[in-house]
Amino acid sequence: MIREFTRNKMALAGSIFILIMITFALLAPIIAPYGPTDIDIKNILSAPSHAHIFGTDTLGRDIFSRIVYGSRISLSIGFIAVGIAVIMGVLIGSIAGYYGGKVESVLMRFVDIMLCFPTFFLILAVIAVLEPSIFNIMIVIGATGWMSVARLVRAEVLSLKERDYVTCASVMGASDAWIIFRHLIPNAIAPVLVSATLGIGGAILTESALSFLGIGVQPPTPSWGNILMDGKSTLGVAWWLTIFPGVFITLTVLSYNLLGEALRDLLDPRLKQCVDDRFSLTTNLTVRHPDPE
Amino acid sequence: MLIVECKNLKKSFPILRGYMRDEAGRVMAVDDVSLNIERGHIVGLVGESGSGKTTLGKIILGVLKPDSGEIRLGTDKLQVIFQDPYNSLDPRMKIRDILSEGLILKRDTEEKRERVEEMLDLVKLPRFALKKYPHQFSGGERQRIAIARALLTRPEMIVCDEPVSSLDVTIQLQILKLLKDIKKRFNITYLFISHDLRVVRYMCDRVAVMKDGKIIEVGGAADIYSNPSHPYTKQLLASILRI
Repeated sequence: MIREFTRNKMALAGSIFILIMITFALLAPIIAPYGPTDIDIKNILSAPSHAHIFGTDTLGRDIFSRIVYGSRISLSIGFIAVGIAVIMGVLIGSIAGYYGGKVESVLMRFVDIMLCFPTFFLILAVIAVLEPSIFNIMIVIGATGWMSVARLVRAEVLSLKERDYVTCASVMGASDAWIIFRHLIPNAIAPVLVSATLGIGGAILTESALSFLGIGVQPPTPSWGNILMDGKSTLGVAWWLTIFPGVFITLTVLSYNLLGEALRDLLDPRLKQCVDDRFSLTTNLTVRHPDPE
Repeated sequence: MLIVECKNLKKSFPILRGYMRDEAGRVMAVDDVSLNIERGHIVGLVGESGSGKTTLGKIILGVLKPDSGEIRLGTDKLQVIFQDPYNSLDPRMKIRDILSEGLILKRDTEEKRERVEEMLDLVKLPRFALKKYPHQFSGGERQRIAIARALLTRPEMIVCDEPVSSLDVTIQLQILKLLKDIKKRFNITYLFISHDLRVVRYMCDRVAVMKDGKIIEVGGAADIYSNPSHPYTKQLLASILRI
């Protein structure tokens, strides 16, 4: 499985970039040559040079250092927002799928209603009421992103709950919670993983857009979105203020998408793997698939 | 002494049609069935696919509620062994967790480790199997795991729902012998659901024949095989001889 994964060059490149970003976030004080809010008055709006490889902004702050520190914000919002979405989606989806009937109708209609809102404007409205803090942004992005996960999990649980091992557990006296958490969720989690990976990219993008509009992460805390916003007024004279954070946002989102798609290719034709497994075990008849290369 | 007493059990399922899932009719899966099972007996339940055998088994297990009728059980220590060993073991759990599940659920965790290992010996699987996942085993091995899981909770009755019909013939015999051994050792009652009359003759003391949700004939195994009274039973028996 790992070999199959490394054969996909794009996904490999994506995961390497993600690893670099995670290293940036974890080791920010070591990697960044300056503090994120250190002001160098002699070097205002200086072009990329040895001292400041990505140049400086209108206050003389080092762009590279701000991008490195900004990766902490962007990545943690991505992870935590998606974490919230996954937890909500898995719980609501598995409860709807397992109990069926009225419970399912109510929960899934709620999902349909949530899906009707234009997500970004909902987030804008909520942030306008609450104050724009990192914490609120994580929660709001998470709370508007769980619906697709809920649908996925419900569909999986509908078929999983008919399996004999579930019947067997209930004959042995297992509670509903035991069945849901021990048997149904672990078996339904693979497609959720794919959707979560794709979701991280989306969450990072939403955070950048919010910060760009000035209602996301508040300055002076750097996030990729608000570095981009700082650059827009000086775009004509200082391209580096806009290009570098833009490149990082693009590459990070692209990397998550590539990784997510590679995971989907590995897990989604689930039939392929299952069939292989079964045949080789029962009849020693291995189905060989033509090599994609 | 009776361990299961069923009186006039009925169970039907709705047939749903169209976008609004309207009920178009009902299919009677179990239609006015009365069946008594004596403690310590092996009772065979035979019939063609769709005759309601599995539904009756599930009602006895308490997984399905009958629409009407009465069921009285002489024990709450029931267990089940299913037909498809690929479907009856959770693919995400190691064998040790699969086997211990029943003990944990029954809050009977004293000497859990030893009992799991003993049971593994009984079904003739090696100890290192505990660290593996179900997909690493063959069909026959998985069925042994399912049997071990059923036995660990010390049941008084096991519903065997086509326990050997997905296995090939040599493995079938091994599993049937194992089930017979276990019956002798622990004096467990079996309800043995099968469509294979040869398997039922090998295993059972009594036989009940089901057709379209009804039990059409019950009797001692030897009697039914040598002297079937219902025309459908005769037809079934004639069909084995032809193979």
